[in-house]
Amino acid sequence: MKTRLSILFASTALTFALGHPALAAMQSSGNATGFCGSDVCIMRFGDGDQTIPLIRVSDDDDDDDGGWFRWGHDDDDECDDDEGKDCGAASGKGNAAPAGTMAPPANGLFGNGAPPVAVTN
Amino acid sequence: MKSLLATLALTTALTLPGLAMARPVTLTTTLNSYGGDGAYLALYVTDASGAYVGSLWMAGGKSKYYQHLTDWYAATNGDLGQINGITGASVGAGRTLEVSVDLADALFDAGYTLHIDAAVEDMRESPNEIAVPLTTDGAGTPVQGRRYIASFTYR
Repeated sequence: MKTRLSILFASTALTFALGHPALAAMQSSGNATGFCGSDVCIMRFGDGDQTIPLIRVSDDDDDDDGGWFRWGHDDDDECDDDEGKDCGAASGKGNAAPAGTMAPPANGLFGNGAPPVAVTN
Repeated sequence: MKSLLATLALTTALTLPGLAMARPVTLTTTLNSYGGDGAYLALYVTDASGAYVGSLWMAGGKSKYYQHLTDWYAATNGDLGQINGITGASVGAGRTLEVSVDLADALFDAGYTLHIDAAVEDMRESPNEIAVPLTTDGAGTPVQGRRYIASFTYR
């Protein structure tokens, strides 16, 4: 008999211990309202008298990457030559060979002397 | 002894024309302080009819930007074979690029024109910023560009 009472008491205590915080949270939870404009969403969570605004500014979907005078920001910066990746121009052939790594093109402009060298001051 | 002299004469005869057919030329390009990133410059030559002959130098290593050197790109379709071995870094605002090349004599006083296309990231493209006839008399005479190039000289 004592054993049954002990088990009953323990289960009741355990249920109360676990259930009370959840019940309290349900009772104190407020309402949430929100609206979205074209670029901004505002959510308001109410908790009694306190309101905490959460503002999310959207920056995706319609980034203007290409003004008429802007360079093509096509998000393919992984093609940077300093990263050594094969990518490149419309021809898709990667980047040109830097000076000094191979002979200049045989276009008839260059003599047989020293290859072109550039210095930037 | 005779064979040695003959060999010397032969090698001299073969070498001299080669020396006489080209001359060392320095192409000096000074940029304005336009307040932007490094400029891409394409130096190339057209003949008397305006047809593209070839490129002398490409300042700027990323080929994805060459389309902004619009005249050069239109003439070459962005063919990297035109600039392999003659490509270097872009040139910062206010900086001076000096390119030393061994140019064929036939280019001078024969109707050829040296062009420079320029482009700067997030700024306007400037095709044919410089167009200067290659003449013996014109050597050393500074030419002013339209947008990014303060002066260009070949000598």
